[in-house]
Amino acid sequence: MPDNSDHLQMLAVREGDLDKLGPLFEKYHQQLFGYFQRQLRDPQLCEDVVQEVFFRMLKYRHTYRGEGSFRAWMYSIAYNAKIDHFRQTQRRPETITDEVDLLVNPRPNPEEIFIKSNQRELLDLALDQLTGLKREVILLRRFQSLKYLEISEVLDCPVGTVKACLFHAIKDMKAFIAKQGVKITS
Amino acid sequence: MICQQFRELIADYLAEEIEAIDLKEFQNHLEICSSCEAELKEAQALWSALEELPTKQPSPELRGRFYAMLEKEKRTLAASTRPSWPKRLEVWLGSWWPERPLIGIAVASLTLFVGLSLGSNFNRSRSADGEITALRDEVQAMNEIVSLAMLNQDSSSERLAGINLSAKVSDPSPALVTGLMNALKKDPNLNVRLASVDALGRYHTEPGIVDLLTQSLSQESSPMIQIAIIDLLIAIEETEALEALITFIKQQNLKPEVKNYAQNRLIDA
Repeated sequence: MPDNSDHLQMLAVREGDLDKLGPLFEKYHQQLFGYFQRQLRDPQLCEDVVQEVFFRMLKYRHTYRGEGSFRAWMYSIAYNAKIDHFRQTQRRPETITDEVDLLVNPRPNPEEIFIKSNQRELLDLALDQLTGLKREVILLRRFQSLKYLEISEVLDCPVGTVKACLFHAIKDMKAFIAKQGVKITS
Repeated sequence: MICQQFRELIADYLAEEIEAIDLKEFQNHLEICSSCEAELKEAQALWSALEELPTKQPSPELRGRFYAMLEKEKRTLAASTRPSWPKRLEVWLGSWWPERPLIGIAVASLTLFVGLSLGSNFNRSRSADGEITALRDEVQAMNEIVSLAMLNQDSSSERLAGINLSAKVSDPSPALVTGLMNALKKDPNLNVRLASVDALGRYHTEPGIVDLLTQSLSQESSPMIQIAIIDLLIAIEETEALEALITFIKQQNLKPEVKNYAQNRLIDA
């Protein structure tokens, strides 16, 4: 759960008490790792990007104003670090169009679906076929527990867009799963 | 509320972001529409199943890399904020007088005493060895006093300089050992604390120093300091130090990377 201590610690970091970044690392590095792991997959790469996020938090600490939530600021950095990684490796940037997205991340074929018939793997595939902001919103809401307002700060878009993206993300995932003739059980 | 409106609110409901005014109508519609109820259950099953997707954990090395990066950034920050040497000299001199007149008088008295001793020794034509020994003792005493005084400075770079000066004291007094232990335990600056570990290591042959270091290792929360003390205890190569390290490894709640590091160092020792 977010709390005011995150904000106070980041303010201290901004004022030069860099040791205060330690508790923030301890609190959030696993969550950030999970955030990257859903898309980057490679654990070593995910660790590199987590390290990059904390490096940027230090480097850009003077930009922390504390006007929004600390988590929104941190995930903005994480989101941009991920985008930069995709740009550098020319892999699956988040804001590209669906057509380009299909080229770099083709829909799984029926054989692939057959092999990955396990429900968890099917859910992973359903997440993978989401594009652009729809995927980002569901990752931030469902797996990182960010509020709509925080997500709108991270993605720099209106709250209405966040709501619409989540609505369409769930709809698309349900349609994808239904198409495979599978019923999800919780 | 019509079915279309209900279905558009399902995502907000699952995300626990539905407005209170909408929630009432949402629940009312749910009671009368079995089709929408089925739609919601399907979405809820998907939402719950997503939560159960496994998440991998990062390796312990990530923590080590982070703290190494943090230390590097702190050193960079310290270097960039360091004032020019004339300013530092001015601040340093200013810190001696008039804020701490007693220390200033003590240093001046010592200097005078050393000078008088020298002159007296020359006049009495003592042997050269005796003069040098006496002079060395006086200089060491002065170094110790200055080192202790600098350990109480507000500036971390001055405290660091004080610890470095303590290296010139070969026979520390209990006051200097206590000053260094206080720096190790309480100083807010990690670099000062690391330097105090090195400084105490120089006196490991003095009675009680190894005990103090092993006690500090158990009470310490910073992995960097723990690793510095582990390195020191290994370097000392004394049975007492190694036994203390073995006891330390058996402690509960040790950070895994510190435990692994200590184990590896013991194996290599």
